[in-house]
Amino acid sequence: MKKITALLVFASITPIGMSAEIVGNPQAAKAKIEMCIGCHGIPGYKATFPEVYQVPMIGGQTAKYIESALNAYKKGDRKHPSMRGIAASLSDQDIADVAAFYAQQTNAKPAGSAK
Amino acid sequence: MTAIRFKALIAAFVCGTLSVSAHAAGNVAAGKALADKYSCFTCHGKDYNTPLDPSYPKLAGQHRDYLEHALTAYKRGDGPNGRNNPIMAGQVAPLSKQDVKDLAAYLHSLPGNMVVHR
Repeated sequence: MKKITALLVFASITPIGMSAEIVGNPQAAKAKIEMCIGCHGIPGYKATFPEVYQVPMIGGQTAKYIESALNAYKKGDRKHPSMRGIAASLSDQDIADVAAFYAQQTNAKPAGSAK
Repeated sequence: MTAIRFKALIAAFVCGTLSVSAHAAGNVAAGKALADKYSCFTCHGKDYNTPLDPSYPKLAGQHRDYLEHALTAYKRGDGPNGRNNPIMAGQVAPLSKQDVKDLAAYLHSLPGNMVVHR
């Protein structure tokens, strides 16, 4: 019985422990931002479907917000069709890496060129 | 067509374009009044560049038309091309279409540090 209890305790804390371990790595994002740069890396680029507007600036945005937005697209709380498709293809680690990559961009440092 | 008539035509065209874009752009002063009234700074920061919690976005200097889209999407909620967010749903509920344009114009006018890089 003790073993079972220990197992249950372990099972219940593991998911929390795992999600806390995900840390975004900007270096690891470089292979993952190919889908982002076609729109968010082009000054003045406009989304055309289903509405026309300039896609948001995400360089220098807070990492946690980028993660939150991508998770909202993935979950379906945000319904923009292209962003839903892209976010659905990303793992939690991918999302953390991409968010860390864009959050560290500044005007002074055009760092993290895709190539 | 004489040169004078042609110039008049150009002038009329330019004036027409300017007045249309001015109307579409929203009013910065009206937007500031709305942002103050609805206390947007409580979460997004007094300069709209230092959010209270890092899970809230910086807004200062963000593209005007994107901000209009985002606010409109929160108004749509669960509908097509909407956004489902309990906090923002409450915030945008009282906003008219013109309010949305004014707020977007104001937030876009603020100095921000977001960039577009590859």
